[in-house]
Amino acid sequence: MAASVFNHARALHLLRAGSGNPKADFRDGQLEAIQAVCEQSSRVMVVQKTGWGKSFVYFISTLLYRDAGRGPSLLISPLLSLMRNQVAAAERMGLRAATVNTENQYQWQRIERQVANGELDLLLISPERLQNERFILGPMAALNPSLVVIDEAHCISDWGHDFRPDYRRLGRLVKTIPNISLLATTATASQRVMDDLAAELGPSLYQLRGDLNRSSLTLQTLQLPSQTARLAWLASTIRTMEGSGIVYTLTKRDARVVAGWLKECGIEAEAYFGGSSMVSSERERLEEALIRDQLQVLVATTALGMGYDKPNLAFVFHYQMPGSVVAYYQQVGRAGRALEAARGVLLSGREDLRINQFFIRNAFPTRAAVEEVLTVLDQAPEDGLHLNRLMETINLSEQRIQQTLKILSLEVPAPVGCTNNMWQRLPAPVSPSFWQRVERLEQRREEELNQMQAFLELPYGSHMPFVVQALDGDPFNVDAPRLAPLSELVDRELAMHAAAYLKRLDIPIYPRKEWPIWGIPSFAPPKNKYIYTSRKAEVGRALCYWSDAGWGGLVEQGKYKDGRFSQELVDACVALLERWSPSPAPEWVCCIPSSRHRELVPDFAYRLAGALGLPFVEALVKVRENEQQKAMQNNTQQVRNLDGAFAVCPELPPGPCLLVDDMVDSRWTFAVAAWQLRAAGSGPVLPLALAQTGQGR
Amino acid sequence: MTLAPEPPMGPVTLSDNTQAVLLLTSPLLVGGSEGSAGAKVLSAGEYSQLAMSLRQSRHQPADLLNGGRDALLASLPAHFDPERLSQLLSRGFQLGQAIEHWANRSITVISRADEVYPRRYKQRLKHLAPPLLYVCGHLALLDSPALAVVGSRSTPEVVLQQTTEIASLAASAGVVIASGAARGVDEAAMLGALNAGGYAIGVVADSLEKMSAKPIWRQGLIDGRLLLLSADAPSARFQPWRAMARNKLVYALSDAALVMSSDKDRGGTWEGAKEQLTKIRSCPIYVMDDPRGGEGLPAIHAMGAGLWPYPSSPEQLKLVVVDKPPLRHTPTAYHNKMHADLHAESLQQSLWDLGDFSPRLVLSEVNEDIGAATDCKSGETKQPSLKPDHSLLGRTLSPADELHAFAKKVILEALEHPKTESDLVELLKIARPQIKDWCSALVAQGHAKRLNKPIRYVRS
Repeated sequence: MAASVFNHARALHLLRAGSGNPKADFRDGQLEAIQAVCEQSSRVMVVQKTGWGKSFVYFISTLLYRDAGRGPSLLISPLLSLMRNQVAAAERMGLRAATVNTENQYQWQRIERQVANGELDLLLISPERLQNERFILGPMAALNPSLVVIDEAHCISDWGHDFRPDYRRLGRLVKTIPNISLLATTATASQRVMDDLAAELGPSLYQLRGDLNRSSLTLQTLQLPSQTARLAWLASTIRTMEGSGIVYTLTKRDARVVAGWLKECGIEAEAYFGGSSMVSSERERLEEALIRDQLQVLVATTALGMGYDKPNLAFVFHYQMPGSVVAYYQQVGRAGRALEAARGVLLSGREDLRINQFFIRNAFPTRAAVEEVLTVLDQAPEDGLHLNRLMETINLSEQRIQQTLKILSLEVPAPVGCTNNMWQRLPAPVSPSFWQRVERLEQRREEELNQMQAFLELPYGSHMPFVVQALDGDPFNVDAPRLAPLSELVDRELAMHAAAYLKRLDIPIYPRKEWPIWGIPSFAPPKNKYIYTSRKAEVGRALCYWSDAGWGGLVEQGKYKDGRFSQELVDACVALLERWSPSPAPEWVCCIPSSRHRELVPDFAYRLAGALGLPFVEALVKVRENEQQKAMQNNTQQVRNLDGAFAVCPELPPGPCLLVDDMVDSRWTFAVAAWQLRAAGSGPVLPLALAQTGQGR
Repeated sequence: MTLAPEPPMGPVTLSDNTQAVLLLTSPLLVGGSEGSAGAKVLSAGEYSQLAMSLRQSRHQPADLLNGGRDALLASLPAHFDPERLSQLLSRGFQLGQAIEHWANRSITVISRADEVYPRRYKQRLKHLAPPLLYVCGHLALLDSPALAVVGSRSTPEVVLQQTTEIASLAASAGVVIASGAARGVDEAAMLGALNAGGYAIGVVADSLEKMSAKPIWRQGLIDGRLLLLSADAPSARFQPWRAMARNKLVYALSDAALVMSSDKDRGGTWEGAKEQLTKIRSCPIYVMDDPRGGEGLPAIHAMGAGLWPYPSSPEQLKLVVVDKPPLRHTPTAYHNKMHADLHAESLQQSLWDLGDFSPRLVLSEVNEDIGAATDCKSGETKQPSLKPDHSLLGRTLSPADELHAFAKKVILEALEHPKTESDLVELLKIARPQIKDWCSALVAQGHAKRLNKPIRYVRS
């Protein structure tokens, strides 16, 4: 029998000290979990809904291990937002806790010192960190934890709704960690996921499973196909809600649009999303603002995800339908943790299915992409190739190439690997089981999407039992909803306002500042990737998003049906310029030439110039037949395709110009044209596009 | 060759013993000897002592994992420093990371306690056999007949050419080429075998991780025709002492060894061959009889290595490697300093010189020698029971000696007028290397003379 570091009196003392309540006692299952974790080298899995108090289990266990002279704990969790909360909570319990991530590199040295001196009890990291060389090889390697905690452990399972490649690696890693206890926790795991985890984490996995029903939550689904109807419903409903909440959207673009609309309706709302277009300090600020009720609504993508904990969240609404019931449960489950009653309303629109299917199709690399990447790396020099070099040879988007490389590199054995940012072919083939797994996962996601469709159709009162059953809980234990359903009627006037709002989105087009390193065009100085300020485009505007409910339909019709953009669009652009009132104001108008639709854009630009009372100048001509720009998948390919495509007429007017095009996506066309125009003597160049494409296209 | 190409290994779960040995002796992913727990990892010697002590108390390394480790550590003699061992054993998470990282790079680890650990290492190297081997590629190659081919990094092109030819002959014979995967002779030999569809083993002194990612080895690894192995953790950088330790491992997994080129009194090849001939004696060693291979070759020959018999067919090569060849010199025969004079003299003699002692006796010596090498507990080598004995001369003529004597007669007759090697090949219908070998010997003995431009031979 393995030794245990468990000590009941001490555990209870820690709980009371940590919760600030001298009479507190363990909740159902907590003590049992702590006991299990305190057996040395144990394997424990805890499935409990968020808010049950999983963190008490590992905080207290950590301290008991430390009391026994054992090493600290390592907590692996996918989200930064969680880590900040967790570090604070751990410190309240008297643990010396820290987190290392890309955003606090300035603190790494201090944390490394703490690790070296054994002064740390708990280190929190994301699974990606386990791939980081400094973390693996540096002083932090000497952390030598005695307890490893994997939060959101369902991500390890292929069957999980939100499987992550880095977690796959983690699942393999923890198979062989002798002399260490493992605690895996999740709030959402079906029996299939549990079985899978037991297979991954070892047969001796000790499982503790709690009740998943959230009796405080009233769930409801409403099908409102049009965006305007959903925007109107959201605005009128949120005004009547007491307390704050979250509105989830499927894309960043929708998060921006919805947040903008709610603000216009006088609601304190902000958009929240992941990726490089929002800095993490901004995300942190928004999370805090919601927690402190300085905001009523955060309009967020799934980036506001697992672990975000605001106990008194009154509602979680969905602007669009998530891809699976489990994902939905996880998001909606943020509401009403410490409230008597809270609402979850799922709105569903006509674009939901298209977007979800796009996500499924793009979750894994295609066979063609894998083949192409491997072929190029097979012929690469011994040291391998940088991603930039791969983009030069492969016409796939940067994201697609990166995803392909990443997923392949996490295989065991891996066909490709990365050392010092150089990608190399490794001595292993892509195994047939890789493709089998990809197919199985895609199929699984289709099934989950179907299940979600069925969820949409449910009558009021049957939603929570459906969710609990989908998670293999007991649906007969679920109470009836506590609140009456909300009306699905939409205020007509508000809907018209929403339609008008969608027609003046005025999307900024930010100028490109650097050429891709292997794609510097021939007219720019060689080996200088920077685009001079004097050659750069100004911040421009796009009238709408491609296929949105504002001008999207008219733009599409003009481009693909009529072959001519309507007068309404000319008027809309005149109105846009009035609202925009760029400084300096444009003094003449020109446009991007095309050899495919020779008339389309020049005709529109000519009419727009007329309506603005400005001269139209045919400043740019197409001098090289190039590929369609939209077929170019990454920056390098995009710039190369444009290099030498345009010539500039001599004798341009010296003043600022309005540069018109129909679509904008990568912004390289504007960057290349702006440089050439400025080099030929034009004043500042203001790009104007009818529609912004890309993202959820 | 009966080896079926096997896909490179997939995820492998390491045995508990291997895990324990890794914790105790491997720097894991962190370079250097610091186990990044503040405690230095155990050296091979230290580990051997610990293993012995564990065995005495009827334990195995795996018992240091999980449950009973505290009690077991406490029961060990104090000089093992339980605190240090405990620190090393606490590196469980680092171990998990390392195993996953290596598996990702197609690298796995085997320890002496594992079934697949090469038997030859245990038999030949005894307590010096590395506790751990990091391997990438087809493990079953370790059980196949192998010819070690070694030489220095800076070797003339023409010798590399010869190396490639010998390796491709080995490939046809189903003999695995074992070498060090370094530039020069090593690469020429291994690639020679692989490119001819054969098999190779590379004992790596550089980082195994880096080596296995090299494009030249990729296809061989993917096809299951190559095995790269190292006694050092995969991220270890090249160190001259590592190259030295590596040599031992090349010889110890081979049935015979061939030195293609070597400096004299310096360099890894020289030191490695010298160590073999004077101390370890893992297998019979040959040198090329070619001045372009450097000054080291005659000196290694003088220490006891045989001259390469230039087998001209796969069958002949297989005989040289697998069947104990009729060596004139065996490694141990020349260990004895009392025979120093004989060395000097024998250098002047050719392979088939009748002045040599009987091959049959040598054969028995070889067997004796293997017995001695595999039975060296004290580290002191048992002397062979039979010494070269000139009194035996002329008494029994072996079939080989008869053939050589006859050939000598025929060739000298043919050399009444100057002839090129090609003329002799034409006339006698035998392989050029054999002609070359015999002619050089005749010249060395003064029976014939060598004329230049073009090279011809004539009876003196």
